[in-house]
Amino acid sequence: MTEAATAQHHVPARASDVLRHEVRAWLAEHVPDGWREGQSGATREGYAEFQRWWFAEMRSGGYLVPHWPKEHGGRGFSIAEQVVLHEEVARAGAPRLQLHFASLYHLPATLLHAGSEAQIARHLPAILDGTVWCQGFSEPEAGSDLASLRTRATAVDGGYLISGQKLWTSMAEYADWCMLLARTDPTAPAHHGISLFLLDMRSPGVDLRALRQASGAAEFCELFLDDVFVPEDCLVGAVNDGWRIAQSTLSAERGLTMVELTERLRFGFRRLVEQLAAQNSAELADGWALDALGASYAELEALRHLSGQLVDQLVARGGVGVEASVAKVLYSEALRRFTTLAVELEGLPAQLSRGLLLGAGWESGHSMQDFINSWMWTIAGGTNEIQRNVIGERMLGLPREPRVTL
Amino acid sequence: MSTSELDEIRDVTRDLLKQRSSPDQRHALLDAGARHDLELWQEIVALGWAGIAVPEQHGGVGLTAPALATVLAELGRALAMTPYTASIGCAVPTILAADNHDAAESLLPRLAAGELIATVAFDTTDLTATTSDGGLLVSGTAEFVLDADIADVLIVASPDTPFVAVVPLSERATVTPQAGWDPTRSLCSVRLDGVPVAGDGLLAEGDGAQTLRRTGLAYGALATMADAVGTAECALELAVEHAKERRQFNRPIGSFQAIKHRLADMVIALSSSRSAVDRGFEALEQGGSEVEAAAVAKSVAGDACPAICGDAVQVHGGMGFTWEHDAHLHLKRAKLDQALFGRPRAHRRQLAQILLDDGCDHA
Repeated sequence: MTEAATAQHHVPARASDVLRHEVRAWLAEHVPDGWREGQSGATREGYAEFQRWWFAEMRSGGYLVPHWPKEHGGRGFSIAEQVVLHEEVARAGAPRLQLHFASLYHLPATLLHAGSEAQIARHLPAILDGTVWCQGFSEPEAGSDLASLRTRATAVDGGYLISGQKLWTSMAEYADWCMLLARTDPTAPAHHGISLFLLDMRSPGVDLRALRQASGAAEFCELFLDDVFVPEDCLVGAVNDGWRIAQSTLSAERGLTMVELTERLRFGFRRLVEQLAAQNSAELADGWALDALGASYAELEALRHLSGQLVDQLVARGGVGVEASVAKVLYSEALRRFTTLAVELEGLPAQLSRGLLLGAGWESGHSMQDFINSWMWTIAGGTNEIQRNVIGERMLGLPREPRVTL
Repeated sequence: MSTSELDEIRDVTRDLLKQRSSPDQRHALLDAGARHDLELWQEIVALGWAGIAVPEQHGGVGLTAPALATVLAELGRALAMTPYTASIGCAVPTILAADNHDAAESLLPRLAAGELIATVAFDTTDLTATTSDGGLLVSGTAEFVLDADIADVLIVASPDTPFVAVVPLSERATVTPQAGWDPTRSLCSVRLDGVPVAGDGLLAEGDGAQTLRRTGLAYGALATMADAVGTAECALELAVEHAKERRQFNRPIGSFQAIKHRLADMVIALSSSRSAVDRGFEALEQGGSEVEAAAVAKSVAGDACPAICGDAVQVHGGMGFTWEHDAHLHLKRAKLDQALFGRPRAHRRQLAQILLDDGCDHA
């Protein structure tokens, strides 16, 4: 978060060791043994119930929102302290707070950056009580070209009427609120006519359809909006400033998200190696397996070093630059290679479903599920092809493609 | 060391190399059949960089391993023809790791002052040591030894002998230059016929010998990977520059995604390589396992850097395949770096073995 970004990264070694010790001990006591097995093949209700239970546990331990400022119920953790927490959560193989992810990170970062005092006072305390937020950005016709989004917000007396369709709205089925991008000025250039709204999902005119994805799970929804009224006080920041707000919030989050994902993947790799060693897997007699395991370990260590540098940048500058695109491509493609390897090592048994395991991130240990889900990271958050354009144009200064006007 | 101190070392070195190791100067040397640029070497020495990571008590500057890495990368970037990698990047830290105070006392001050050049042969074949008149005489043959034609001393070891020794490349040693593909470096074969080891020349014996040999190989791998990252970085920059200037179909070729994405991939591979190498030198500084650190660096950068250089040739098109252009020199340099001190695949297997034998927390 931007507030924490000004804090010291290099906390005194002892303070950070004390925190690490404290978090590790707490997790050892509270992460339930065998939760992965218990959640494998869980019903939607079983999944949501478990997520809410873990949310409450983390809250009682003081680890739910330590990254929030103290005046809003957080602990004002520095970036370095947040890194320690992410590392320990990954090490412990704890459940990921997937259901509340947008509530705990994206929404508060956005409101603390650009929201009004009244919005902060209304929504942050509610999140601590379990309000689920989702994010309505992408549309069927606005994926990589997100700025071309068509969902329309028309000013009316006391607020806006919003109509349109959103896609890939994660956790929308469980969500109470949605952060929504909609076009408020169709005559302005694409990036300058978009506003950011807070949408109450119970509003009349909101309709949802679950979107089943390749893994078989339905973590996303299609969201249909038909003249939905959103009151004026639910506009975030200035009208037509939504694109900039959404971009800057995401940039501030990127460094830490990379640390979290990288750490989880590193420990996912370690669990795989420990399992192979414990089973004395016959595959290990094969040179290719050793070669591939060594390659995977090495690339994850290099990625971890790179993520650490992003965090240093986050501390120094309050955000991360185009280097985040490099890290995103590296992470997603390392994830693809790792999950491909895990499937290959397991052989035919990997082809049998053991029931979907949600809430275990992208390293659940169900190798085919992780493999299939690895496309989420090469596609979502800006496809890797878009990231390569960003690297080429913003980092290397290469000329843009000529615009095609039809 | 802070980032700004490392930046300063990099800038000072880069400035010198811009003036003293330009493409024109290099071509003049290569056309004259030179295998080394000894004048440049003396200027590096004059900066104090031969003693960069040597403790002050041994006559060095006493800076850190990342400082050494910075200089190594700049030399790779400039395709410099100096014995720095072998002598300062590999032999010096091996002597420091040997825990032989007398050897350190007698060798390091002269190496740090550039008065003495050392190189290494960790895979010497038929390596033997015989005792004669209380002294030790070493025999054996080694190939692919960097810079032996100008080195004064050689560190010899083999996978199955219980000693690591420093021997003078005296008249009992025959050094034959080999015709290497990378013209910016000098590979030699060395034949030792009963070369006497000085009293303080035994760096390690018994069980300690293989440990020191593995450590030396790790230093060599890290030093060549720093060189490779530097050389790949330069190749990438040349390719980016070309992609902005070269116009085909009425526009700069860098605006085509086919070129743009290839360049982006080169950036991504270079970032990962640099991280792996930086991590390795930081581990040396913090006393982490040098074998693991080197294996990670070699696993990532060992294949990626020559691939980046190969892509740079491709982006340059026909021009990249000419002798005049530097692109092929970067590719050849990175290919030699990849092949020296254990191929990447061997390092990956070693990593996997460490993970499986010792558990992940010890890696």
